[in-house]
Amino acid sequence: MSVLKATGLTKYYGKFRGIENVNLTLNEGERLGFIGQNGAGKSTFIRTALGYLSPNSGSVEIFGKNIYENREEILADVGYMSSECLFYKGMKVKEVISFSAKLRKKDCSKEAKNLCDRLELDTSKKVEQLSLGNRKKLGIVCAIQHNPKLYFFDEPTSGLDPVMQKTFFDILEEKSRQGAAILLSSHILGEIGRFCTGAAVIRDGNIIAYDTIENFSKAGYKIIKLFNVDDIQKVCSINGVFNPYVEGQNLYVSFRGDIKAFMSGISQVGFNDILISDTDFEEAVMQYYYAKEAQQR
Amino acid sequence: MTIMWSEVKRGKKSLLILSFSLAAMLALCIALYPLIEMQMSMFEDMMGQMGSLGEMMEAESLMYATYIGYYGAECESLLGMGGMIYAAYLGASAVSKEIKMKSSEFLFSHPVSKTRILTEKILSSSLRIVILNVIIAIIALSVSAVMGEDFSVADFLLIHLALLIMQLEVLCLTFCVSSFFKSSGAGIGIAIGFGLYFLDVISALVEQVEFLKYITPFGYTHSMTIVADGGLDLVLIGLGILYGALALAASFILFKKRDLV
Repeated sequence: MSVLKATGLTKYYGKFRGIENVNLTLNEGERLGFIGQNGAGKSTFIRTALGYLSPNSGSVEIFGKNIYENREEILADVGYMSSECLFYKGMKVKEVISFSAKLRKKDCSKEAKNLCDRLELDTSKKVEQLSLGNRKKLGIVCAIQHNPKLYFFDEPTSGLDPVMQKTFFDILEEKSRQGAAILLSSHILGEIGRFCTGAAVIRDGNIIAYDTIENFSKAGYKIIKLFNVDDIQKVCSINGVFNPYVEGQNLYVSFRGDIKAFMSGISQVGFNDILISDTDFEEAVMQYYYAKEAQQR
Repeated sequence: MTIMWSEVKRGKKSLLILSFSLAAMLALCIALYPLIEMQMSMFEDMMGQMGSLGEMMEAESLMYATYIGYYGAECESLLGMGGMIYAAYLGASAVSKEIKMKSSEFLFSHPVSKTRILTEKILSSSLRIVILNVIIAIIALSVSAVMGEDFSVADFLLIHLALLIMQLEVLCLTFCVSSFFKSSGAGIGIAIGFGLYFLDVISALVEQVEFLKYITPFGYTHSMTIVADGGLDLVLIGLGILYGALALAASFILFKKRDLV
């Protein structure tokens, strides 16, 4: 069952592009990684999907209902943690947690205590005394304590130490097993590759790739390293070769297509050694980043 | 009322500091009245020897010769200005501070409507203004009683009521500005407050622009007029309430349309 469905979602800030024609679906129990460079439109998508921003066009349905018409009802079952995690100065951690629960008209004290214990969050501290990591922990508690069915996390692990990152993903794993859908925006490709079931890559406000992690990893291209190549141009001209990188007489290329055709192509070229490896998820995503840089050059 | 009480609690310290500071200054003014009264008596004697010019000047200074006249003038200066600045600060920063401090993303992630957020914010600011005025009125009344001053409590309460209504009107007007401009801060609110005060000053000085008293909320806070009339100017008060209500209605409409971050 579809929990989140964005259709043709477009948001402009005046003349400036936020997101354009974004289509995205998140099903029950699914964990979607949301990837993109700074300013690509990740946070704009999340804010528009949550009804913070009104779109120029397109629609968002959460739990089958239009977010802009049923915002309060929908948000009762949604947990959101923003990337900056800023709270009210002067309040203690426990006051922020209790304030959040009261706004949801729920007694979340048991779950809040459990989360604070697991994340080792000192609830007696004032918000302004918290480090970025501890602010993130507070954001996590507020987003999770009411056990929602849909989670939005915007760069949740920046500032968290590796042990807390693991605890955080253990908690998410449990929630996911209970059927919750999770959208995780992050720059850390490794954590998306390990935790998510699918990923969407956003660039310049547009979704340019959207697939399962498995399919990203089996994207069908390989990383090939050739040593002491005597005719670099000839290798680069083989059909399916892209992203060449030359280091002295050594050549690094990506290749998508029939590997036999490639082998036949390089049979006429002299070289000392060859190394062929499959791309993993991170490398596959990096190709999209490099493609942009190449485009800019 | 979770948002309202949370805001009141967070603003408690500054509210109490301001309330007791203004009350202390007012109490000092009250304590000085016997000295002022003595000087005024000497002044009146002097005016009596100056013929018709003296009579004119005496009439002007008459209000200072009575305790309530003196108190009203001091209260207008201290509570009028202090309260106006506080109200303008609360109104102008109610929404914009939330956006600037980026706590808005946290607040708006909860299942609360824009209308509820705005309602609780205006209630929290109004409550703080009422608390400020009540604390000051109680302390001023107590100090006046201790000093054994003879005055009409009704006049005293009317002066305070007029100042309270003025502050609530300023709150509504600056609240509207805060809902309209994304990046407006407390500065613009306080500037509006002083602008309204300036309108009152020039409406009293220049006859041709006397009509400005129908615009500025300071028009109905003159203690001399309140004491002389034995009541508030209901036309000006009514207009003030109307402007405040219109500003609030505009705030809700504007806020409903704007983006939340």
